[in-house]
Amino acid sequence: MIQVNRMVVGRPESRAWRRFCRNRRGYVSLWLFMLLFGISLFAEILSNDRPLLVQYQGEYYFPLWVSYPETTFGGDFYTETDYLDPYIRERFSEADNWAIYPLNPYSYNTINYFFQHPNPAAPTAQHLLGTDDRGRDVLARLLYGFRLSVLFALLLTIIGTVIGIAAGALQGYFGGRVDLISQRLLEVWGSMPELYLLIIFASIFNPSLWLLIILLSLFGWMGLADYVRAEFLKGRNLNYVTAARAMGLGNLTIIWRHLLPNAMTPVITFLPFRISGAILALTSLDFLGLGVPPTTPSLGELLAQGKDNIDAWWLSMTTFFVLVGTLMLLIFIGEALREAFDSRRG
Amino acid sequence: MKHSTVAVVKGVAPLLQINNLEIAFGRAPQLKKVLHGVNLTLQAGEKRAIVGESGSGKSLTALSVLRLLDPHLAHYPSGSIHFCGEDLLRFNEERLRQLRGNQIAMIFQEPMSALNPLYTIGEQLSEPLRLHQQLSRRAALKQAEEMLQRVGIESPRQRLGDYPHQLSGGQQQRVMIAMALACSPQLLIADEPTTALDVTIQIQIIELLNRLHREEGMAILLISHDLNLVRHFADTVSVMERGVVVEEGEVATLFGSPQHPYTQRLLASEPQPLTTYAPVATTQPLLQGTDLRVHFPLRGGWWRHQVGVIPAVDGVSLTIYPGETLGIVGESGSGKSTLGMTLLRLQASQGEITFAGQRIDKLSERAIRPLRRQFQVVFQNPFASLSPRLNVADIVGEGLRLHFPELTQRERQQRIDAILTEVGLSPAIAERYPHEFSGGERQRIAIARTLVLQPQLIVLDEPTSALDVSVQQQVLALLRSLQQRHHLSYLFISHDLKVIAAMAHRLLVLRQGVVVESGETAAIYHAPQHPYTRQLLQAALFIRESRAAAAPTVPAALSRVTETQPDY
Repeated sequence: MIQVNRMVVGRPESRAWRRFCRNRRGYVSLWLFMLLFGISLFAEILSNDRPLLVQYQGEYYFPLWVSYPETTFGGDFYTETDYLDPYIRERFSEADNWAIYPLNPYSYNTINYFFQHPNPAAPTAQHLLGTDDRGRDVLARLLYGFRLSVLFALLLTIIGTVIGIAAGALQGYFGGRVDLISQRLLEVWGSMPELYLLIIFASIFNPSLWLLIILLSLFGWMGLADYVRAEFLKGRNLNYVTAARAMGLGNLTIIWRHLLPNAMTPVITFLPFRISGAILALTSLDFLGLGVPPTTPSLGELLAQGKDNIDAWWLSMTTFFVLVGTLMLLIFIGEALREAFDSRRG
Repeated sequence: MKHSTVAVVKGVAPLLQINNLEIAFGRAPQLKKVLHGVNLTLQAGEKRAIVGESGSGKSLTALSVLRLLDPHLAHYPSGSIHFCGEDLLRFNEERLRQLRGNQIAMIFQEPMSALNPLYTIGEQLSEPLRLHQQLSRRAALKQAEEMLQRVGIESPRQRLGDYPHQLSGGQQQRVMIAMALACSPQLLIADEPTTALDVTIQIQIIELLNRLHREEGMAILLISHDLNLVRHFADTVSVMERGVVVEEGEVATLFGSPQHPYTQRLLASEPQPLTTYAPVATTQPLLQGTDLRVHFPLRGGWWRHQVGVIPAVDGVSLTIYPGETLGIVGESGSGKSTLGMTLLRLQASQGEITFAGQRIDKLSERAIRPLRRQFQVVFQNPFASLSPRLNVADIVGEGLRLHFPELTQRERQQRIDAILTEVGLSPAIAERYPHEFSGGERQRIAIARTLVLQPQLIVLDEPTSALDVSVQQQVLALLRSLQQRHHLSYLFISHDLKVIAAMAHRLLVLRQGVVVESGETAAIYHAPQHPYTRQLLQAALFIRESRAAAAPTVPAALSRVTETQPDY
């Protein structure tokens, strides 16, 4: 007597995943984004100014993890070795000595003092994407900058989502007076001028990544809270919630088991858009000079350099393509997610 | 008189002729056929009903006559629809527009969603007149007023300036009918026109349609799942099952001696009144409510202060004994569901509630939680009452986890399997999710969820209203057998007097939050005391006023009820 349509079998989550996979553009974007992000996590190995492994006079050295004074490799100074120094390089190519350099032998704040061209320098074989106005390798800065942007955005999104869900859930579930009062508080909080606060705080405190995360988290959760609140308001009057109450379940259990899973659709759908929003926020703040300290690799700072050196196209264009590519991938993923959670599609 | 229209027009070309109509949905090559060669012939002035359960294709057939199905999704692989000798399937959009509303009109189930909330009744009524008959604004409004008068709306001139939300459901449906008849169509298609309305309103609408049919003489194609209504209204009937017409004929013949097994099954699945009754005599009531009141505040003025109250439940007292079913019947807005929620302590109220000798109305939410196991609830809409993200085992097992924490995983699984078997489901479905089940199966899962807690009382809030008649019959039978086996008490809330008669031992008739009549079901059906009860019974069972005056207002089946009920 039980007739089951084969197309609709399984957990709602796995059906949504199947629908997601059917959207080729979103699916490919997700894998591409994961791949790029995965690669960027190994930035130290791919792009660094220290060799991964050195054999010098029969002994192995690991400059990537251990810092060796220049005297170790026959230099004159007791300070740390500059592995870009032609003299050191010469030592490594003598006799049986060898060194494995990373693919791109520069870190994000390496300044190549032995480079012949004035900075910013156009792309050459030595610096594939050129150097910025302080002589740092653009490719390395892009790689580290991308990683930092994505990590920053992920952290900001997680914090914002958790706070947003909690606030929205409490408002929506309890409703009435709780809802009324917290909505008014939210309105007051939301009408604070975020950018001015950032400027003020940037001048009071030393600018740092953590300060940015705290400040942006304070304001970033409100939009999501509204959606979760609406889902909870809708859900709490549904029969299965009343049935759960009639069963004698406590409020927290009802929120956690019955309402939250059914309110996750807007949360998940918004995730990629929130991530891209956070990346954009960090980039703009850096561009304005309100963001991370200057030594930190940052896409926004590269863009600002591109603006200051308008004829150094390799600064602005490369950053532009990295940014556009990242945001586009995220938006494609978000689009596919939105369609995947649309239950009207099979 | 009933069959005269059919006889008169015999030999004339039929008004509507549907030949071997097939409809398929989707995009090629993945077409899914839903109509498999429907044949239907309708003479001018004929009153034809199409009956069938949900998914039988009865509405599709009707919508395809006006070509109202989404042209991107619906395809017509074969067949023809001839109206006045012309094939509608060959019409272009332009010619269809001339046809729609002019020669063929349609009324729908939900009058509220069929009327545009932003325009007044007068504007909406005069629009087709100005469109199809090129009347001036003034003349159209004048005619709109006459139309309202004709469909029995009081003070039609004032109503013209009203917006849809200012009218009641019955009035809205009247307006819809007036609008449909504005251009004197030859064919009126009525798709479940009374399903969303209360019984007393239903009969008024049906009588209105009957009167208009007599006056105007148009053909009516009535789509309905309600056999009683069809029997009362139509001359001829077509029975549809899974996209084909399985039987057709004149109403009296077909209902009198159905030939096709499906028709027989459909007719047999109408709820039969309860004939056996033997609750254990007892002096200890299970649940007792005394002078229950639920008042919703009415706010107004500048500061939204309370200016009055809406008494949803107003001084209701009731008693339920172990093993019996107390029916609560009333129309929408009578407070019957609110009363059910009140007794479950899910709705704030005043008055005394005693469950198994213990006062529960003063207990705090926390204190009452352990007791909740004993009084459970099953809701009307089986699609909203199961959480879509939990599988069947989770849904049924949740209460066990809470109220029987001492059970091991294995014991819990055994109880879930046993209860699923008991409600007629296979234990193999435990890992499935609600969306994979039909309405009837979901309702069984909902019953299993309450039953697994071994309650003493179950509040059944319209448990079968959303189900097809044959499924409804199965669920009612299940509920009855469960009651006998487990000695359960039911509080059965319904607007459907036939279902109530099939389930309830005793009955409360509720109207605007007040009990107008109470007593044993059989007694109330035999001899209703209150005029409202009488009106309700007449409307529900289509007993004519004239007959009601002559004989006791009881259908033959009810008089068989054996009364072994003890005296409380």
